[in-house]
Amino acid sequence: MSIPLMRRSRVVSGLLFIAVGGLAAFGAAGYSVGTIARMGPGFFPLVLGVLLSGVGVALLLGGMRGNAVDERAVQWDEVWLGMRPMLFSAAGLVQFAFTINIIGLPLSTGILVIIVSFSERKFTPTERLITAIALAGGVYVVFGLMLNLPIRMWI
Amino acid sequence: MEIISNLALGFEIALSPSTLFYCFIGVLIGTFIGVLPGLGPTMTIGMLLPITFHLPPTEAIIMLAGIYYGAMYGGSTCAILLKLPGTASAAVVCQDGNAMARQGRGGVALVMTALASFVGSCFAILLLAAFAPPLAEFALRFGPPEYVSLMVVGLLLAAVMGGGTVLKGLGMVLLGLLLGMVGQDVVTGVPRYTFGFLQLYEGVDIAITVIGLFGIAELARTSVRTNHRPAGQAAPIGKLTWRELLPGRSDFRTAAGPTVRGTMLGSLLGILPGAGPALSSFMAYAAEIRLSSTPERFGLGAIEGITAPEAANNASAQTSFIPAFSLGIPGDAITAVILGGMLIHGLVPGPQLISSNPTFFWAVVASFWIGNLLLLIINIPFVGIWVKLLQIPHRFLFCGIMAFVAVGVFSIRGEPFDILLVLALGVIGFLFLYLGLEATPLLLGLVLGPMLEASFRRSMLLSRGDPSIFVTRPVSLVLLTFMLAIIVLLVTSALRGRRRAQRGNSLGAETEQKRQPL
Repeated sequence: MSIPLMRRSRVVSGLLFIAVGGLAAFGAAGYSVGTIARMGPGFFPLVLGVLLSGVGVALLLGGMRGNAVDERAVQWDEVWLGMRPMLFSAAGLVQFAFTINIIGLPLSTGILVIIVSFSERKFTPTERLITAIALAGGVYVVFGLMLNLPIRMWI
Repeated sequence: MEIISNLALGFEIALSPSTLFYCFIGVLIGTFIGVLPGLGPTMTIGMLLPITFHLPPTEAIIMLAGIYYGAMYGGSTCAILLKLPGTASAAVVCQDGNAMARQGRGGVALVMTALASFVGSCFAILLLAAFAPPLAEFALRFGPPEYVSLMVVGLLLAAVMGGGTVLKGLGMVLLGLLLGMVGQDVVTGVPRYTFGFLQLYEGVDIAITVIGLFGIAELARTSVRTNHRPAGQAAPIGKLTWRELLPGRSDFRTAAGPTVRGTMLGSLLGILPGAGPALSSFMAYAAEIRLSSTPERFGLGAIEGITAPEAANNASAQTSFIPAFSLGIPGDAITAVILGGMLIHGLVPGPQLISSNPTFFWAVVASFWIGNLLLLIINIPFVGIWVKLLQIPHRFLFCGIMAFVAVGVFSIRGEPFDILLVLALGVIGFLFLYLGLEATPLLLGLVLGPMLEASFRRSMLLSRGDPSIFVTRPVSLVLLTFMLAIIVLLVTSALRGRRRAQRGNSLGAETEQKRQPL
């Protein structure tokens, strides 16, 4: 009957909420909280953080009892499969963030596309290159020419 | 009647060449991204939001809204032809729609869903025109405590209706509210949760959140599903001739009832915050199964199974603008983004919106109708184009979307930081998808957070710290009682559900409830 603890979405979600709520409340206490009549910057965030942790505890307990009808096992294996596109997307985006102001829009977009394309095995090298060039060009036309945005376009 | 003269004014503006143009562009883009799986209207609107800076406000909102309901038409195309939902709201059409396609009735399915969508939209637009202005009038008398109660009710509804368990929804709302706290506090100037990053002083941009949570996350998941799908799931499309496209008289007769019912359900659900087109289409489908005298036909090509959901999702898309325009409370995630867009253009959402910007409101309403008409044309005669589009392999789309995401996000502020932010949100969003945590309540929390805090502060100042102000003022009391009623209903139905399940009973419409964010 039982789904292992860490595969129960309510357990993991509950833990997540407790953690974030706790951190938020902790941070909020650092700003002056004030009273309910004269609320300081920390009041509302503190309340929210505490409530979030509370919800997290409720979720966690509910998940640990494990008799829910609608409980689904977290498909960690699909998450693992998703790591490949995630990783390459991350690499590409990070690259883009760092190089856009140096080498300009079409170039960083082109490199982005090439990096991202590695998340799909079905690409042939020629296809990768052509897609990169096409998208770099397309992005230049749309954002550079048509919309005339103040973005660096070349080195 | 005043409504007629207002509508006349609206149509006059909506039919002007520039407005018409942007309406057309909007619905075209909407159909485009609706047809393509992995690209959602939420993300697209988020991405195009900064680009609309250069447009006059009315045209901008008309275009963005066009993308929304346009996507509702397009989503079913992919669902029917490839058994992949183009938008979450079309997920339920996959079964029967694709089954019909395999029976050679794909053309009929495509036409009927377009027509059902049109009927749903038209009715809902009438509701919008009829009810939004009086509702706004009424809400003009609201003070800060009423706003607080209204927003709390709205957020609670969002938590409850958003799919997934109520607790998860609540947590997501709270998370969204917290996210809304990031940035400089308006009243005291104290930077909150900025971790020293200057770029966070203005808070987390809504477009970035949307693109990360709804865009990148969904894209990654579609990537996984497309590449690891068991083979042989797509229907061979073949050539769609005109004759194949035409539904027969019996099709119309069978589809009439479901379309009407779907419209009703969708219109109602769209008004509730948090209940989006996806929920409406699922419920319409479930309702049809329960009401049908031959439920076994569902899943095998029942035309009721595609027309009801399609009418419902379009109706709910249109009615979600009712609370948005009259109260400033978004009906769902996409309307939340559009409200954000309105703010940027200087159109402050709230009850005063309609009375201080009547031309805007009526022009938008008129353009909704025009847009739907355009969509009927785009989706029926030109369906061949969309079919071709669907044949582009996923990997090209993936790269294309990533490129546009990067550039689009960067174009908001020219800050590389934003790209890293959107990436972080994408990763988190991906995790959320697999934990069954809906992003819609989070988005609503993000949008309403600052307003909620401000109203709460003001209420406490008014009452000098006395929280009973929320129950001593009549409207606020009514709203809170309503909320209590919902909670009671929920708890009792949850208990009843658990007892039923423990008796080992499985009720009729157990369609696999894939509640995905749009």
